[in-house]
Amino acid sequence: MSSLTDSVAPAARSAVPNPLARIARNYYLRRVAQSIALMFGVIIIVFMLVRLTGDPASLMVAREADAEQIAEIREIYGFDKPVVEQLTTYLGDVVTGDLGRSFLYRDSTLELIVSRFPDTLILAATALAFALIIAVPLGVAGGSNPGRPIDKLARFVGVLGQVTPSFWLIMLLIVYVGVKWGLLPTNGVGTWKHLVLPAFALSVGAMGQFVRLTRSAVLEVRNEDFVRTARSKGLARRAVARRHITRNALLSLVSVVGVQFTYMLGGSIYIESIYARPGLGQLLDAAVRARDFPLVQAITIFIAGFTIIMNLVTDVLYGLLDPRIRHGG
Amino acid sequence: MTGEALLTVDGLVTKFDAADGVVHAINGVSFDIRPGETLGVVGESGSGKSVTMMSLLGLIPSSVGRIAAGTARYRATSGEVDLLKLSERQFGRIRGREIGMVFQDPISSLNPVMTVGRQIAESLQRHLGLGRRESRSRAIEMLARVGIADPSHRVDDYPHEFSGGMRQRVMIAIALAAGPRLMIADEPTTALDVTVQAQIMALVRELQAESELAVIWVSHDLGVVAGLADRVLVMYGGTIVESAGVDDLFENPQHPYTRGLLASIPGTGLAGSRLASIPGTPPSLQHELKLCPFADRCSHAIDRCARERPGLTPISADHSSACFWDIDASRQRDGVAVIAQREGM
Repeated sequence: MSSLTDSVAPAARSAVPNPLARIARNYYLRRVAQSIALMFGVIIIVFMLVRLTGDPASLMVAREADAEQIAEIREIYGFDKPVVEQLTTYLGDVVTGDLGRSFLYRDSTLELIVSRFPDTLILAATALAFALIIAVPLGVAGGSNPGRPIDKLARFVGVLGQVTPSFWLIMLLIVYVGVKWGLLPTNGVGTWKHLVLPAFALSVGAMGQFVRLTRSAVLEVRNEDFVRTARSKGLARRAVARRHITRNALLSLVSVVGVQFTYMLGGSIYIESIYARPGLGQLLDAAVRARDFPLVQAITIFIAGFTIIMNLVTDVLYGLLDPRIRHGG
Repeated sequence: MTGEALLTVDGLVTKFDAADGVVHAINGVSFDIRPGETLGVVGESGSGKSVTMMSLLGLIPSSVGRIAAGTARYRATSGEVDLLKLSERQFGRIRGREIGMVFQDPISSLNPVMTVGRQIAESLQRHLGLGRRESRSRAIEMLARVGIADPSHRVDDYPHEFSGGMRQRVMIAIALAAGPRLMIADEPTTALDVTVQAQIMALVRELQAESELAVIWVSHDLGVVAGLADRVLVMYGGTIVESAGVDDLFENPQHPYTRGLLASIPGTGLAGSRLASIPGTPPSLQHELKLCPFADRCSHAIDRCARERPGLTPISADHSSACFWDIDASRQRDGVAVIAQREGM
């Protein structure tokens, strides 16, 4: 009996895990924990930045406001309390989903954001789809045929996409495609037609980067030893290209796609303002112009939070696609 | 090991187009291999061992190199083919199905994001037309055959989850999955440590005992070849300089280069004595080979060696050497074929 307990004891000890140690071992749990910590860091930094620029109450009132009015604002928003107390109150509010009230719209900032965000999300998602649908086949074709005309086209699109400013392109598209040729609407939202021009304009930067990255990844993977192994198995050229070259090459695209998607949310500020789309970008534009500091702060935190979530999704996706990351401690 | 040759290579010439001119990598290589036989191919880096094997499987990218001459008659199950004249499409039925290949570095030679089971199954699906489930169970069988413990679980593992020696076993399983009759192993144990190397060699011998598998084993390690091969080709400067049965080669080497190689194996001299080496460097392959490639490093070289290129000439049954000089008799050998001459001489 004693020998049994002896042999069981070490296993039982390791079976009562330190929860922190378990989180550290699991790749996904570790990334989630990191993301939560990062989100708190972002909120604290945004909160502090506003206080570093001076008295937030004076930012919130009209320039000609007198000291009494400022003092009143200060009291309403609690700016007269110690900073640490303000921070804990604010963190408590954020955790319970209260990001403050907009000065301009006299409404909950979170509700404003939630009502505007879907439009922006659709715009960015469509732009991302445009970029991927054009860039991946072009990059693969270019990388698979180095020096051929298709490769020259891929390189040209890659550079052109990356150097074309989207705010300039959207104006050009409105003038030609919208006004002169009358093919697509020149502003607003509504049908899918309203999405084409702004999404395309928003996609070109990412498209350029994706083409270049896909092309160079394919070029690199083509020369890997495992591609030679695949050929030595007698696989058809197509099967080698699809299963061995393209799959491995696209792995390097995953991380960039996540980053580009969050850039697109930022890029939507110009596009939405120019194309008159009532999305999050336009809301931010209006908030900045009106010095609506609670709304600016809320949007900043929201976009930061979205970026962190996107990065998390990217990492999880990476882990699913690349077993080396999943297993590599 | 008797009977008709499985593969007969005759006068293989492979050239590469480099930025500063043509590189004459393979300058007329001829050999054959019979079913069940193990042929060792030795030589230093750049002697053309790997390029010869890549040429036979059509794995030289057409953008950098080309096969300029020669034939390689392979007795495939469906009839005789010339490997050097196959299209990429026709090669699809040879590679993997008739000839399996194992490469040097098992980690870079395996796809990192595909399970080993799927990498084996690919060959089975392609050549034997097996479905997903069938090919998976065959892949498990293959893993068991190459000595992977717990194959039904390991089949879903990725290459990075295996050790170096286990990865090379997986490579062998891939190469042999579709039941080829010839396996070309290009320095398969060079990246492995010595004990694992011995295990892999033992495995290949076992697999050969099970079937009439012929093996071409490329190595720069004479010790490995001595322990495995029936016959040995010694390559130098993109040519075969000596060909002999393994015992004959080690006991009675005829070519000065082979003697130099054998003399430079550590451990054959007295402890503390200087390691023997061959003076000079391997030949530049920038020019067409019209003299003996070893002439300027050879202590036995005579005037003729710088003017004419000796062909591989039989000395006795199953022993050939490409040298004008008979070292043991200290005189020129009679009847050595001259296969090239320098112009204006």
